[in-house]
Amino acid sequence: MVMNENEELRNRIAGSVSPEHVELPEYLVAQAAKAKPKRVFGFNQLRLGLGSLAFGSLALVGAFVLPSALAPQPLFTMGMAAQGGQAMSSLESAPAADAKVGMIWPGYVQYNYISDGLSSDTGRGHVYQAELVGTAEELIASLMKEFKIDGEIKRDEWSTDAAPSFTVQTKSADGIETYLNVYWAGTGTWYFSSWDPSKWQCAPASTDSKDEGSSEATCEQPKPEPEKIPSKEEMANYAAKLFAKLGTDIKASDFMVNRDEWGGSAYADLTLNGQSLPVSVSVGWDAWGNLANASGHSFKLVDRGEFKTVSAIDAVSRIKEGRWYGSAPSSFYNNTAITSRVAVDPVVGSETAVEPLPGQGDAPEVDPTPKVVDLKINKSTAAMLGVWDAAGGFWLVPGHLLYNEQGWFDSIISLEEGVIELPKYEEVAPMIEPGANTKNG
Amino acid sequence: MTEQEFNDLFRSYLSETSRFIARRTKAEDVEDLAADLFALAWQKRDSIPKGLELPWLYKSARYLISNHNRKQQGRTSILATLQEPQSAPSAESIALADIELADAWKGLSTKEKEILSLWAFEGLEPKQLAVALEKSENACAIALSRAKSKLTQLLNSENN
Repeated sequence: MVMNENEELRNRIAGSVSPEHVELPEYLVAQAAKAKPKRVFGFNQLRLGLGSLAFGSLALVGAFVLPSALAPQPLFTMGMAAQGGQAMSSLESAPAADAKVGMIWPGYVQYNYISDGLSSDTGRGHVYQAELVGTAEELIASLMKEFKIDGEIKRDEWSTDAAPSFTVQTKSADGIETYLNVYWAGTGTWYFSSWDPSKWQCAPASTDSKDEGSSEATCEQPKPEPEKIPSKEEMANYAAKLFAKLGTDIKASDFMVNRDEWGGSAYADLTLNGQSLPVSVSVGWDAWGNLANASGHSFKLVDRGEFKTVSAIDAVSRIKEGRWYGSAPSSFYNNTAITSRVAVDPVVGSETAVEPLPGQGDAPEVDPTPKVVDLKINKSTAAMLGVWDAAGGFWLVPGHLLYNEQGWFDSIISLEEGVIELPKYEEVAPMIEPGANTKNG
Repeated sequence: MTEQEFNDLFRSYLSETSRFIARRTKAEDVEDLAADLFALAWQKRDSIPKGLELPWLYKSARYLISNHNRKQQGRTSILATLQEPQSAPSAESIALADIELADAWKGLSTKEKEILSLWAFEGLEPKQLAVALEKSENACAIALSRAKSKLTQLLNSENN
């Protein structure tokens, strides 16, 4: 194309359109440099008069809740799956993580979710916000007293004012190492562990030249003493007493207890009105009957209102969107054989999973078109799902567990659109790092 | 870059930004998208290549518009969020003055429309296109050349 034709075409295109002129105000640029207010729920505005739910009894203390119709803004803005960071480790988050992985690596399978006999009934459900109970200092003091720890409380490197994190590490005269951490955001997660390294002593690695190539340290397997491990009943009773002292009432019979010659554990989901929550507590013993670890939370639930929910059929269409996932209570995972979606899908062959390293020859031809697999969703169960907001807070929202014919489920928030603000696509799309392309300049 | 420097520099791009967004979305959404765009520019001000601020604004606006359009469409698959951003003007939006061109425009792919519109409406050359489209300058030059040839062919076939 010669220059004249080139310019002619350019002018023709440019002259063909006269978009509606939009005069942007001058202050638009100036306000960019100011902090843009986040649309996070103004908790203080509604705290007065709201029913609060003490976790000790999980009973509603008050009943007044602002009607949802008066709430002009979403209750909160959801954070991404990783939001909540450290605290997430003690909460079940597999589906949310699955969704995130799916966003990063789509693979070559596109599921087509099909409702099969699900209900079209809509409903209503309550939303609860986790509110920390007491102060971090008070919690640390009670935990140090309970676990007989005497050491310096240090603020963790990653601690922030919005989400403070504290650790106490000690080593006793007989060599037992203890670790206590409190993460003071969300549900106020704490974790304790005690470890006797003398039980696992290893001989130093050999420096003998004859043994070159086999320089691993030799460790003698310690001999467990299962007779010292508490019985299942004792473990459940101990756990119930421990958490009651720390402000969380759970019946001994509600603990799931495991025991073998290498130790034992008692574990329970917290509940609300008989429904399991995606928040759990646990305590464990080592092979010699010593308390080895424990974890819990320090929060109460505040009822933020009752809202309309979508039907299970409508929730199915939210699976693909990836932004509607919440964390299901762990008891649901225990009852479901969770397997990788990729692993169970027969259409994914190894040839699509292998990407050659640079220098390993030509890349195999891979069809970039996703394989479409129909997947029937044939059962749904209502559940309270856990989600983190963008400010690091924790919420419980109504949801549907949508079971499919392959044996796993997706935990999808059932709140009607607009009640909460979903994470923005920009947070998962490439635009999160628009400056990364500056090399082109 | 100080706040004052930022204001001085980016205020000069207000009209171009306004036109870019207005061609690709509804008039009532322009101000919101522009506000988001400048907020993003402020956050990223230290990594925006000097002298290429406007193409950088176009690049980021493409993502914002693309995300905005996806949201407007309602339910969207995860795969769709991974697709390249696309914010080319539609055939309808250029159909007002030049019916032949509008018909030919419909025969172009979205990518071809996008690179042609950035070249013709925004006046970008391959170096700036490379920033806006996040491709190499060479790739942009080739893609632009092909798109121009295709549009010319389509226009010729309209005339015959």
